[in-house]
Amino acid sequence: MNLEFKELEKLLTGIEKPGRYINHESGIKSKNKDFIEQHPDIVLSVLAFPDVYEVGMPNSGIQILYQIINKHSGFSAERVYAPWMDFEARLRKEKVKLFSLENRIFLDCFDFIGFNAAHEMLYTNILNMLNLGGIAVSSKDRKNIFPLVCAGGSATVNPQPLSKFMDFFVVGDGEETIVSLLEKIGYFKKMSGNGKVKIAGKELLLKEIGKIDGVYVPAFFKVYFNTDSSIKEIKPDIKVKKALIKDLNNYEIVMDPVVPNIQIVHDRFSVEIMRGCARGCRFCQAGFVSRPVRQRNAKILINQCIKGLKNTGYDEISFTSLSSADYSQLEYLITNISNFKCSGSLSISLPSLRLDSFNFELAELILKGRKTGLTFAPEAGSQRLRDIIKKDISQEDLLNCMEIAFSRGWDKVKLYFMIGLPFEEQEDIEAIIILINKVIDKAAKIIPGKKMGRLQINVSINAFCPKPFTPFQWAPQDDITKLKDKFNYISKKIPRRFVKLNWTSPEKSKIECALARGNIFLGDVIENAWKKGAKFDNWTDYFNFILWMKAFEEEGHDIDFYTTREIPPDEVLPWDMIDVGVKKEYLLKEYGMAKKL
Amino acid sequence: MITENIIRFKFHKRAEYKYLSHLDIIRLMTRALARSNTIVKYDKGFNPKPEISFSNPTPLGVESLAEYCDLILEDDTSANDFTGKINIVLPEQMKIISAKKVPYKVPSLMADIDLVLYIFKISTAGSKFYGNSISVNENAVKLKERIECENGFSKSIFKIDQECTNKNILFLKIFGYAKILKEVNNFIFKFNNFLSFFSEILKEYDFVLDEVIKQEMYILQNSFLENPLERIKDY
Repeated sequence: MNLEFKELEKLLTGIEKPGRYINHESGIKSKNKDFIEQHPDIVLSVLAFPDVYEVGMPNSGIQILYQIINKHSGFSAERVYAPWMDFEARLRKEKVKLFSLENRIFLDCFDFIGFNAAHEMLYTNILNMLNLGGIAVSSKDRKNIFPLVCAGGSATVNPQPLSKFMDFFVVGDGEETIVSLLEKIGYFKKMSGNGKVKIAGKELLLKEIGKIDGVYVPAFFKVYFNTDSSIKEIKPDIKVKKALIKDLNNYEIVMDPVVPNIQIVHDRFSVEIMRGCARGCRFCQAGFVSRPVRQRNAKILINQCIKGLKNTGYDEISFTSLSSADYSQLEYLITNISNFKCSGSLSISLPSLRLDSFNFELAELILKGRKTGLTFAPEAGSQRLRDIIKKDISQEDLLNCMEIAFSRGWDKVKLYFMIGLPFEEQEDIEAIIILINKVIDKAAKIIPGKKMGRLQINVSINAFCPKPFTPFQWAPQDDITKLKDKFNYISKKIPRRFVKLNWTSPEKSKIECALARGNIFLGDVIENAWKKGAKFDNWTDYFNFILWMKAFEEEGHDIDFYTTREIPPDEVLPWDMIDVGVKKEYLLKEYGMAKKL
Repeated sequence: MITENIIRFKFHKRAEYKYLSHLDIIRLMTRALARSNTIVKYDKGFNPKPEISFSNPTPLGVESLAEYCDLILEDDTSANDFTGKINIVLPEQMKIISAKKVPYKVPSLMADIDLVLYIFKISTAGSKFYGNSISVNENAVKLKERIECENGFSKSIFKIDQECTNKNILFLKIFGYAKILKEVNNFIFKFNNFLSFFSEILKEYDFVLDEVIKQEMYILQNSFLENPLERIKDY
């Protein structure tokens, strides 16, 4: 059932960063091996993040669920991350199944596997991990009741592309759902004698699980198609409401998280201060699906943060939310936390702070004289297009901010833009260049000539990708040639002396778009692409567009049907059976308003 | 006599933790200090850094019974209390073995340490001389000579001993030079070459490398060997 350390050691010779696979971090909460052996009724669950350890480890969703599950005496949760390619090759060569970190239990010996599908480009890794764990990738091929395989996380608001592989999905906040879920699994496991005695099938258990808030069981829904692969209807005509935690304060933050032994991205104590966002930027999926806005009480939070810093030994804390500037007690929180005495000085980061001249003081307080990391996201170059996407930032705002920044000694700034936005015209592309030039002019006026050479403006360009549950869910994505023309135009016209330009590949955005807006046919495409070797699609070096296009072709699906096509408003959408709390009429109205601008 | 509270301590890095890099170990130790509420002194640089320094790094995959660290504490905690406090928050794979107060100025660990003693546990299981202690010994002598002939040997290895406790297990005690000076020098102990270098050679002699342990580190004092803690003499 599990792999001994001696056996693991044999697998690790010559493997890059073996620390990824050895566990024994601080903050481990899983029940130990002896306890599990003495309690056969315990529900064994594994939380899986389909990317490599360093990328998956900072994910707060896994940390939250890990704490909740392990607090319960009848459940145990372990973790597993995608093995890097060298270790995957070793596992396959030595015919060893993928195992969890804590007790090194093989994946197929668990009762429950929960994948965090944080974004679409992780889908192939999910299939790969199932396969490495000795589990059939298709739900219908898994004859045993356990392990039950489920996915949650941001991308699963449209569960259709993964529905072939999952027994069920959890949509929305997982805190309460996970407990009800494991209770039902536990009861069933006991009744059926650890799933060995077939007193009832998987279907019965899934029926029970399907009653829980936020759970979508694909087997109980049938999708009927028109001849053109658009959806005719989804039966039964009921909606699965996303699970929602009304008051975040009822759940303490994770004060004793697992602290990694090896260097990971965002290696810091991370605290969610607010869930949801009221800004309503029309392209932003997170903003719509995580509504309503719920704040944590700063007073309670401060104590919890201090405990957390003491427990972990971190000297950096990060306050996360979709728009930290909208958190009403931000200044109070920051001032109180900066008083915390740790052995050096505590660094505070606010990854999603929208800078304006009002909270500039705050930014300086946080940065404590370090002149790094000023990021602005105007998203569009012109005011007209910013109004269309409802990005509430004006040119004056931005330039005022830049003025303060430059005059206080900053010489590096980062600007984020999107191209291919709905209703974008050539003038809007020009406007990006004009705006960047204005920023440079501003800098030239303020920064003394001698130091001007140090000015660096990092411009990051992303291709727009329409996502479910946003007003732009119906909008077409620009085709690749158009996106490339737009980017090349910017690239040619931009003053290269001070600007460092980078962009994400439009090919990747195209696949992301198809997977985001996909229906159940996409399951076949994902499986085909995975069989051809697609994995780590989010890693620019490993993403293989040609392979994906071949998968679409072989499965007989036209990718443009999902990407460059404008979806008619009366068409049934693949995600119509999910209710995230925002009405379709409202989204359509918003889309209409954008169109009129 | 100095007034600062300098502590030198020795700790091990075992079992799973042998797969953590030197930088990982430094980070873990720093966090353990913070968790135990130990306040380390910071220097007065433009970007203040904690006054903490470690001994020479151990290659990945090698267990170490002798890692050393020097640090300056803000308060006057004794070496014993310090050890107790830190060991509570450290995992069993990484514990402080002993600590001493440094009452006078000494060179830094990295500058001071001359030799590293590695124990190679080599097994003959599966080899053609399994169970034949005479052949094992003969081959071990050949192996020793072979390593001694290796290019760069004199710059890498100070001394090499062998010990055969039973007929199937052979211990190779290698005193390597700790300082990695230039690219050309110290070829064998250049970090990434370490395990692959020895595994390759051992294969030629039909031996299997079971494990490598970093046993101790030494300072050469008038042809005597002292470990960094022994170097600190009590008054």
